Amino acid sequence: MNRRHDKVSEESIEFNRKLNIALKNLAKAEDIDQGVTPKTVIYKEDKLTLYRYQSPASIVQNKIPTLIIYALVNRHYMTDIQQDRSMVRGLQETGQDLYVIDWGYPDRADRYITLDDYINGYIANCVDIICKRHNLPQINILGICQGGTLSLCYTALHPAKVKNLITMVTPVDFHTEDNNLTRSVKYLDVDLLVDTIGNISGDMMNNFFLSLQPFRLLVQKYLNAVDIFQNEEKVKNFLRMEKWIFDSPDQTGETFRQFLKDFYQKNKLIKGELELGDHQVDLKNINIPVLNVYAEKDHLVPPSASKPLKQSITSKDYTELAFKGGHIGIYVSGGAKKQIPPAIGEWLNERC
Amino acid sequence: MTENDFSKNFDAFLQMQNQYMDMWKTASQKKPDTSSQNPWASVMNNFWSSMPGQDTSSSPLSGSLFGNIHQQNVMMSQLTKCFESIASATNNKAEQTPEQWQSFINQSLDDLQAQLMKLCAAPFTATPDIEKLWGIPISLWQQSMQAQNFSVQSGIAEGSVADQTSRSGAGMGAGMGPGLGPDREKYEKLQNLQALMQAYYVAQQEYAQTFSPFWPEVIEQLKVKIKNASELGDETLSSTRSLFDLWVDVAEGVYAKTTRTDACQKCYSKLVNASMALNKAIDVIQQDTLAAFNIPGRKEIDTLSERLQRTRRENRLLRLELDELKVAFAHSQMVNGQMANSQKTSTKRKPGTKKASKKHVIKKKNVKKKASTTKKTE
Repeated sequence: MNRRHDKVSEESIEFNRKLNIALKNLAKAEDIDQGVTPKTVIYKEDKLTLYRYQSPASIVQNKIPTLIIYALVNRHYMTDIQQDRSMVRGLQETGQDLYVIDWGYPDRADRYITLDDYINGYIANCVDIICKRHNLPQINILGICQGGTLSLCYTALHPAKVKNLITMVTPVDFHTEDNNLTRSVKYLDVDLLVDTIGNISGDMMNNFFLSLQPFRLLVQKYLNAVDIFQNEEKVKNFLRMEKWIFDSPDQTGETFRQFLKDFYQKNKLIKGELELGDHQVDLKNINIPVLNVYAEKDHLVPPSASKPLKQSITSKDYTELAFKGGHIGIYVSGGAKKQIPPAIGEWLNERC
Repeated sequence: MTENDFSKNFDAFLQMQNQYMDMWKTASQKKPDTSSQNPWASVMNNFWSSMPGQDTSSSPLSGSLFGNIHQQNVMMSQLTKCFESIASATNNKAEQTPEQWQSFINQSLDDLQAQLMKLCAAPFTATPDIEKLWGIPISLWQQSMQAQNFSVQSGIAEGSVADQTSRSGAGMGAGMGPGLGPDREKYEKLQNLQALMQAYYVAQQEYAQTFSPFWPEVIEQLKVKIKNASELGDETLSSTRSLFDLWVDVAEGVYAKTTRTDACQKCYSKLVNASMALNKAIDVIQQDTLAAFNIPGRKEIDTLSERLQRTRRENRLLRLELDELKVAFAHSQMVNGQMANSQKTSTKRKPGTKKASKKHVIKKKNVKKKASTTKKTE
């Protein structure tokens, strides 16, 4: 190792010079926007809003629309976070007519909303509305992360309503060896937790996710950010991501209770033991075309948690798509923009 | 009960509540110990306050980031200082042997370790920072208690529960038998609260204990990695930044290894569960206080919310059932209409009737045939 005293000092001075610029650029940054593609409100129910993205007129539309169902733990605009990296834009370029569910921000009055209410209530209503608008018996669904799990439940319970299903970074088997989230909640008394605090706050969820890789996410990331902040435009991009990461709605108590107990602790979905309302969720009911997209370096939903979907359903038309990146990179990285939306679009167009 | 009896009991109850709140107030007023603050932090603070454009009012988001970057820079400075002294010593002694050089590195890292260990000694004494990252999962559960009027957690975090327990022995009847008389239930709730406080304190100590070998292991691994890089003439570790990145990699690795163990997960869950149990007990007392003032509390609101949601769910199911009935009714009407139409047509065309009756006969014959085949097979 060649380390000289003067070089170390130079490095320190250089870092502080950069830091000075970074802080100035940061101070100049204004509040940032959420989502870049224009969209129209189609339907509202409680705190939920169903949007339809406005498609560019020049592109021929796929006749069957696609409903994007995002996770309850983060906001849907991740798929449309900035102009040059918008998954929504990428899908529109392949001719997809897109709708998205914005779950809104549940408060304490929503504490008793259950998974049954989300799946057989809100999602079912949104699908019916889209079907009615387009005079179609079924539509495509694109479920992302936890939204993918909800989509699987919906499709298993209402198979006639879904033409094609795409799941992205979706956990199916919650008991794989490398699942950090499962390990973290294994011994947690979820009933006591929900009975005591009711809804689980978004801040608590964020801190929990940060605590999985604290040195990287709380230490290294912000030091690396000094280099990024040398450019004013990059400051904005960084802040958009930062806003999305920490813009987390609270989780309604009863949904959180069932999701943690039935999915993470008891792994009921893959065992065919999950019950929603009066119905048992049997993944074997899914026999429509399925595209399963997973990220190879996903630390939240490892591929081992997503890939068992193949054996759990009865679809003969099952396709897997692996992305060489992580859980967040799959929506926002440059590589993902080039690979994922074109592949999904092509897969859908072949089947519609 | 006369009005006087009521006011007498109510006064006694209020007095008890006040004592209880005073006790928690005392417990929660201890401030975090700042004596162990890194001297570099104060240098950075001065730098920070003299920064042009440090006004973050233009964007709250930028504001919170300022803080994060500032904190990282303090840590970076600390590492720079450590490695600067290594480099300085190396340059000053041109004829230093590799063994001497390595020994100097080890000495510097040991100094760093000693500093970190000092900070680790009380992992819950201040807001979470980079030296106490494992405090984060716990602090987040503690946040859930901020809504409570009693700042219980900060009191407990100070390790003052032991003092409180001994002090409150007389007042709250610790270790004494069950309460008797009209205040029996209230007394029992307070006893329960005290037991839960102790359980929480124990769980907290156990959790902190799980991480006691953390920094020694990080430093040991760091020493080995630096030694290997030095022996192999690895030039990738030629800047403070690269050493910092190595430090992060090693720390993350050790952290993952520690937290993945079943023992650590058990400790963590035990602490969260203990924290929730304590919170719940506090909530019960708060609800009692609100009820005494005839103010509806969370419990009543929850009851209403639950009933409302159940009714909404039932409505949804009824609507579905109604839709199905409507479809079935429309379908049956359509079938009846078709049947009525076909009957009308058949009464008009007599030959058709004959044909139909013929078909019917054929069908009947087929049935007879089938039945006979089945018998044969059997």
